[in-house]
Amino acid sequence: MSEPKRVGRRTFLNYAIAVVATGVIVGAATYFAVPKGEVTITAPGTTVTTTKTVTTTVTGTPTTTPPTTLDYYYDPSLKGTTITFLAANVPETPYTQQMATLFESETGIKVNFIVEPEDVAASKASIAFASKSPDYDIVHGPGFGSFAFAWFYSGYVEDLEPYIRKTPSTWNKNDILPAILNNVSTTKGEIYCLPYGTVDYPYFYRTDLIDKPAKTIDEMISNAKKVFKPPTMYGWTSGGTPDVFSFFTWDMFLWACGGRWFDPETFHPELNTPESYESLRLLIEASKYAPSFTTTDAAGAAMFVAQGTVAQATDFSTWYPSTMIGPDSKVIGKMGYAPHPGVVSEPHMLACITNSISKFSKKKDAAWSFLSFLSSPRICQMIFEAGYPGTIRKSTLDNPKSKQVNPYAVEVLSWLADAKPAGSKAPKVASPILPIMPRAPDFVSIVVKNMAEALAGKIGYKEALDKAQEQATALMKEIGIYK
Amino acid sequence: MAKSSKKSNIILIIPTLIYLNIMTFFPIAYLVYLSFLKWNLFEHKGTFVGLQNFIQLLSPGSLFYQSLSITLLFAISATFSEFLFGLGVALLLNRENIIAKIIRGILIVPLMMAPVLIDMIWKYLYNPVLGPLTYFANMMGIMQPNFLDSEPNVFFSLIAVDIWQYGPFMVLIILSGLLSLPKEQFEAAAIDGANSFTQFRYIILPLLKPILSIAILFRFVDSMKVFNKIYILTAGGPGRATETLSYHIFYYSLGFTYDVGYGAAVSILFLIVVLFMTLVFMRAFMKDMFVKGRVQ
Repeated sequence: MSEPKRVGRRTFLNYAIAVVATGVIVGAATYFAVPKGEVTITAPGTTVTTTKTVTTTVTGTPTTTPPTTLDYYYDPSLKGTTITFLAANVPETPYTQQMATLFESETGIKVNFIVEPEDVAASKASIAFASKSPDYDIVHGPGFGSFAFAWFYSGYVEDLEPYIRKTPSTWNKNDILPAILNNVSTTKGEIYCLPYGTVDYPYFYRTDLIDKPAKTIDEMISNAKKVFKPPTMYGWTSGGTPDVFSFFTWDMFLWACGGRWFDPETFHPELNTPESYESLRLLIEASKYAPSFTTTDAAGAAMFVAQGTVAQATDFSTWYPSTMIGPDSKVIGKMGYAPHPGVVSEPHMLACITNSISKFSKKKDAAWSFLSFLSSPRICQMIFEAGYPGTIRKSTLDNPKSKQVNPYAVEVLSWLADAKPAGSKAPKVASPILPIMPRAPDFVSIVVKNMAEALAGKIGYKEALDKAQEQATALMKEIGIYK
Repeated sequence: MAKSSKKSNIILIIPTLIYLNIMTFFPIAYLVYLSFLKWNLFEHKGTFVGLQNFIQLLSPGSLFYQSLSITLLFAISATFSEFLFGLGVALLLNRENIIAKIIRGILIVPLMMAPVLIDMIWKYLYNPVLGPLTYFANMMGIMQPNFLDSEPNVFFSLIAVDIWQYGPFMVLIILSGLLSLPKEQFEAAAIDGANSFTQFRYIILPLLKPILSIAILFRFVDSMKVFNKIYILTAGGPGRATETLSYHIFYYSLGFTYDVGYGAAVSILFLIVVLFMTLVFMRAFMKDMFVKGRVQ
């Protein structure tokens, strides 16, 4: 048997150099070929285009110095600062990133983004706060103020009211929609976060299959039953996974029935009221006409609609562009929208990612400079015109240009105008997407897990809510807020 | 010379010991410490509560038992299914021809793919509206196959994914064992008139026992830790039907509520269960592999 051939040192070195050189060339080519910092912002109904420069997509004229009439907090001494923004991977983030480029050109403050899935971002933020880390200056909070409130209650994020007081009056706090400002403020007037938009949870329906939009949930279920023909056509869809998505969907049913999670004064849960029972009963009934309800999240529901396999849906209004008029939608021209069907009240949802400043940040002023910039009248208008279907400002909604650019968003947001808090049994109600209380995720988890068992048919809806009520009451007492 | 050699040996392993301490012992010690705290991450620091977390977990009606039983059911079913699959396919591939060689190569593909990618692919395969598996089910007259949102379908669906992903691992391990078996014993058995089944039962199985034991043990421990599939495919649903211990720990300590003390306590108990089951298995099936501290 012949001896194996030995590789000489020179040959080995030659091969090694060749491999390393190939790796460097391929890596460099990949690095320079792949565009970085690219953000696509389109208005609804337009073809999706991708650009590299800010100036061609954002309306308004970017400048290299702040505008003459300053409508956000600006301090020249902050030039050269870099702040870190822990952002969730949500529809708002690309707009935020693009605005950061404009902000840097005006102020010289750089914004470094760390983008993670929503639950990961919340998790990272909570861990950083618990360890008093200054890693993040601004954090996204899911649930329209819910996490932000919990963080504020724990002393993790700043009260923004003092920062607002030192911001030019042109920033105009009174221009912010009351429904929004009330929901991000404590009873003492502390403001614990700031969104730059809000979205609703409307009802979408196929105009070729359903004559007119359902006004009540019973009508919606009746429509669903008529068109239900699996696997080609399902009657309704919405987020139903045993996490926040089923909670959001149930929120709307609960508020429609005139119910609420708990008394905001006493924190007594109200999960076993007749209204609450009725809401879950209706949800279970509706879920029978959905394609795999318990494994569908909000994105999945939007996908089913866009594929033309569902006749009705209730989902975030941000999905409108992709499902109704986006280039991949199979139902262009066949979809209509209306407020979410009600029972006692017409329900609306305040849903958005909020921005908070970390109490452990060493660059709070720079952080506020960016937040005030993002929520300033000029930038809110710019973001709205660029296609984000949400705003916090009355001036944006009243602007005739807004109606031209995005009549859908203006109409949806106008539904919030005279909405009262959920549980008030007013004709129109609107509340934040998640409870505003300390340890809100625990409350949501209690409801979601019990609801999931009812949706799976393991227990009845009354039993599920009775169990949730008991566990939620214990939670409120444990936190120390039960009065 | 011997003394200096021993000294240099000790010095050389110090970096490894430091690494092990930082990456293994310290995290475990910290986990044990956390398990004695009541600490929600919305609070700056936890409160020492002694064994309260463990008492809560081990009390009747605790969700720990439900998650443990689901985990054991999945692990045993998946491991047993993969064992049968692996053994069957390995016996079929235990021949020297070009087709067997090609199939052996193709079998490695699932092992090289990122687990998350595999789970995402299967999520789309199981999609109730657009998935190809739904399409084929419809062709067979099953209009709503409900792969992932009804029991017991969800279990079979998850096991199918696990077999697709890790069955090849079993195949390769068993096949390597088969290929290393001495041919003389088979020749002698054939001469004595033993048929295939007899050879399998009295020659292959006993000789393969060490390899089979190791393969089954690996897969069992791995299956007990299942997380990706649950997170991506079912989120613990429908209801809590697929809420395995790993998912339970994630959900309650970092994924949704932030009760790290509770999560740490569940992790400790989980570790104890897995260790116990591993020891039981090794005593039952691998005892004769170890003689006087040496592996035979």
